[in-house]
Order: sequence, then structure tokens, then C-alpha cells
Amino acid sequence: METKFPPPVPTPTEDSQPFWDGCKRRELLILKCDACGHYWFPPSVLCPKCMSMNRQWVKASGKAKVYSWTIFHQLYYPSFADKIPYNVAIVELEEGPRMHSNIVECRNEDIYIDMPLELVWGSKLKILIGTCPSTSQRPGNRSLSKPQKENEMSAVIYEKKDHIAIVTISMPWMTR
Amino acid sequence: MNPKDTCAIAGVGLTKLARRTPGVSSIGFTLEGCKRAIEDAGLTKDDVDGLLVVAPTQAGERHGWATRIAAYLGISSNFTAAVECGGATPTVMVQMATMAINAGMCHTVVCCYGWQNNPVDVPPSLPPGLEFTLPYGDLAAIPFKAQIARRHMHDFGTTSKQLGAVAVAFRKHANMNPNAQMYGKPMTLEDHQNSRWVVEPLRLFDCCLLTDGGGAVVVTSAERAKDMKNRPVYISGWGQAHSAEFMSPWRDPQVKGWEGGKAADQAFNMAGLTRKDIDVCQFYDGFTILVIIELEAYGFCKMGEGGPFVEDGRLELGGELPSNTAGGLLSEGHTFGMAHIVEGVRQLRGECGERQAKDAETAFITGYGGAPHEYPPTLSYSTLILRR
Ligand SMILES: [Zn+2]
Repeated sequence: METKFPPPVPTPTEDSQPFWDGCKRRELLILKCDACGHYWFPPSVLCPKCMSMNRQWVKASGKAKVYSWTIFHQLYYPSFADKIPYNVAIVELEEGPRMHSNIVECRNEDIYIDMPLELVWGSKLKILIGTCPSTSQRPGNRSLSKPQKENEMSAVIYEKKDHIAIVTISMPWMTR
Repeated sequence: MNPKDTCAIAGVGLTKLARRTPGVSSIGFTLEGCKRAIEDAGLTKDDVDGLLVVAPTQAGERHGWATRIAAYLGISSNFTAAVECGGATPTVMVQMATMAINAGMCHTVVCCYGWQNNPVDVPPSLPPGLEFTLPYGDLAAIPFKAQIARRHMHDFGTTSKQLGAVAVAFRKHANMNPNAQMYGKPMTLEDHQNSRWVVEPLRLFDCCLLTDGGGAVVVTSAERAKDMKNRPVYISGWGQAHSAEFMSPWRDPQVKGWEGGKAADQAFNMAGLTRKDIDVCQFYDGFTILVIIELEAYGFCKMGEGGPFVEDGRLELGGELPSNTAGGLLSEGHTFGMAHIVEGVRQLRGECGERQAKDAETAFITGYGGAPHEYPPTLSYSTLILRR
């Protein structure tokens, strides 16, 4: 169901532009320190462990786990009205950094801390947070970064034509 | 030099606190709070030579905010700043005032705030910096605290009923405070458990109120305070701790303890006191879970034991650690924590009537703030120890 109120589109900064450019290419990029090997997010010009400014954008594996999670019952932003109740999680990437995400293809009540997650990319103009196939239909090992087919249950949060897709760390590849 | 007891709080003031107060601006509330505090100290505005104010965070550029407040008050000040550490700001301002007075910059500083939730001159708008949260439907202060609560429940078995015990205790106190927004509105644990989810696992009654209002405290040198109208309430110790602990895997609170421990250790060392010496507490209680975490962080109980600690009325008047005796942010009103300092001072002066903590000689007051929905999400702890 399309919402009349447009979903929020991220506004990149000078620091985060490469991250969002990576999302367009279906690459989840984080920063890696040349000096100490630390990975960090959100993007910034120096390593928060050693202050080195020598850094690379690297592709994260896309493997992650749930650090914590919540269910939104109150409407904070109009475009999410028909998604309530929806989940917002803090996920921890295999490389270390934590970030907000939605967990898709999973019922809210099935989410648990340390749940293994895998990166999926959205490909549709719809928000599908809070809907998912039943447990028996939940996909098993799905290859990383493989765009979902149209009309398939997908991880998309928002994609504006060929502009920006929002990365979603989602989909348990193992069940409890 | 140990700044212990070099300064005192000589005056405190709060405006009426209410959910909606059309017709009064943030500046209006701020000025009325200052007037009340300055008059409570028995001073005039001309006795004040410093001003600190909570920086406004509503949209729009607000250059020179503190200087403008001073100008509206008709004060020419030697020390002025707008300060922004979220809910830690009022306690941080009292610390800064003490430092400025000890540095000889000024002798009497009014620390103030004022807040109008629906200012007519500021159209509703989103702040910048939400690129990593809003697209997922995440916005405002509650969700990040819900993430922290979920993790606490997972790691330590904390329950929603334990969160409710905090809310119920402070509501009882609010019902002894005619200026509290929830005065005359009792709440049971059952009411708490029946309140709707806002962001699960936080319910409506786990969240603080929305409040239009203002308040201030007057900080002056101990020397000057001796000759003022009220019995001086000395500033004996303080500390701060700021970090992105919850988002930093190398600094996990579950493993390394809450960052806020440093803010308390510093304060107790400065004051030469222990936790056992504290008679009354005012914990920053934007959300019930924060009180549980602060009790652990500040060493009133062990890590993970905050849930059981708040049961059985331990935080209630007559309990082991009477806390938030005016109702707190949960039931008195959201004052950014300014009312916590005001109430701490009133308790130590023995002015609190029905809600007076018995023989209160020392008070532990906290602030807790940060930028939970702007990346990287951060948390700020701040503490004050006051004594009479
Ligand atoms: Zn480094």
C-alpha cells in the first residue's frame, strides 16, 4: 500500500555520501583504519580508536546479529502509519560497528537478541516493515547482496528510482 | 584545589509546570524562573554577574541565546553561555558556575532554563542528522531508551513491573507536590502495566511528561551565601561521563560497567562521602529504565541488580533511598532536570512538608542526556552532591 506521505529519504553529508553511493551499488560500506585495522560507523574522517586519518571504504560481509530491538506502537512519522507495529533494531555487524536497521521477513515476536542476520537489499518502492512470511516459509541461506525480485517479500525500506536504497540488515539465516 | 563546598546554591525557583501553556514563550518561562530563584535568594538582579542557560534545541538558529536572556533580565554579566548536554545540562551548568566563581570570573551565577513545547514562532520541523535512524522509522528520545531497556531485560532479567515500581514510587511523591503535573492523579502498578506500549518494551507510564515551564538556581560563593536569606546548600562534589557506550562494542556496558560510574566516583571522592552517606536522591528519570541504570552506574547497587533494587518501595519516602521526592520528570514535569536540583535544595533546607525526607543532610542529584537519535548515539551522565 502506497502512503501519501513520502517515506523519509536520507540526506547524506560530506562524510556519509560514499556510504549512500555504495548503497546504490548494493554495497554496504564501512570505514577501515589503515593504521590499526579498526572498522567504524558512522562515517567520519578519522579512526575513533587511534585517530589515524588513513582509511579505506570496505565492503562489509553483511553478516550481523541483533544487539537490541524495539517495537514501535506509536506513530512518529506519518509515512510509517500503516506499518505499526514495526520493529527497529540495533544490529552489530560481523566487523564490529553497530547501526540501526529494520528486521524483515521475520515476525516481530520472533526477534531475539543475538539473532543471526544477513544483509538483503530492497528493490521496491514500498515499505514492508512488519510483514513477513510465516516461520516455515522463512528463507534459509540466501546469498548476500542479491537483489530481491519485484513483488517478492523484500527488505526494502525505500528506494527512490535509481537514487538511494536504504540498506537493511535483516533476515535470520538460522532459526532459533 | 578541591572545590568541595567552595560554592553554594542560594536560591531556587520553578514556574508552574503544565502540559500546555499557550501565550508564554521559552524566554518568558526562563525569565520567570530566574526571577523566582533570584528573589528566593533574597537578591536583586544587580547582584547577579553570571548567567548560564540550557541551549534551545528547537529548530532555528539561536545566536547569543544566553546573552539575550541576560539582556531581558537587565543583567550585565561577566560570564555567560548557552549549554547543551541534553538532560545533563542543569547539573553541568551548576558545575560550570562553580568553576567560573572559583576562577574569579564572577561571584553569583543564575543557571536557568525555559521551555515552550509549541512555540508559535518555530514551525514544526525535523532536525538534521537523522540519516541513519529516521529512514527506519526511528525518531525522538524514547526509542533509544527502549533499546537500552530491552538489552537490560535480556542481560539481567529486568521486568516491566520493575520499571513500573519506579513510576509508581515517583507518582506517589508527585501526589504530595501541588506543583506537579500529576498531582491528584494516583497510579498503581496495575495502571502502569495496563498503559499502552509507546516503543516496546517501554509503556506510556515509563516515559516522562511533556511540560511547558521554566526554572533556575542561583549559585554563589560559600562566603557570600553565608549572609544570604536562606540556609546555604553547599555544592560538595560533582562529576561527568560522556560516551557512545551502547553503540561501541569495545566499550560494552554489560561487560565494562556503565560509563556513569566515573561521574559518581569523581563526585564522591570530591565530597569525601560514600553512597551510604546520601539521604535523598533526585535521579534523572526521563524514562523508568534510566533510574535502574543510574542506580547501578552510580554504585547504589551492583550491575544488573537495579531491577530488584527498586522493588518493595526502596525509592519511596520512608524507604532506604528516597528518590525523586517531587515526582521527577515522570510525574512532576519535564524540566530538563532543573527541578531535580530545586527539589534537592528544598529537601536540604527542610522545606518540603509532607514529602520531606527525614533529616536530609545530603542529596545526590543527577542529569542524563545525549543525542540518542542522531549518529553516533551518545549518552551523558552528570552528578551533583549537595549538603546543608
Ligand atoms: Zn585506527
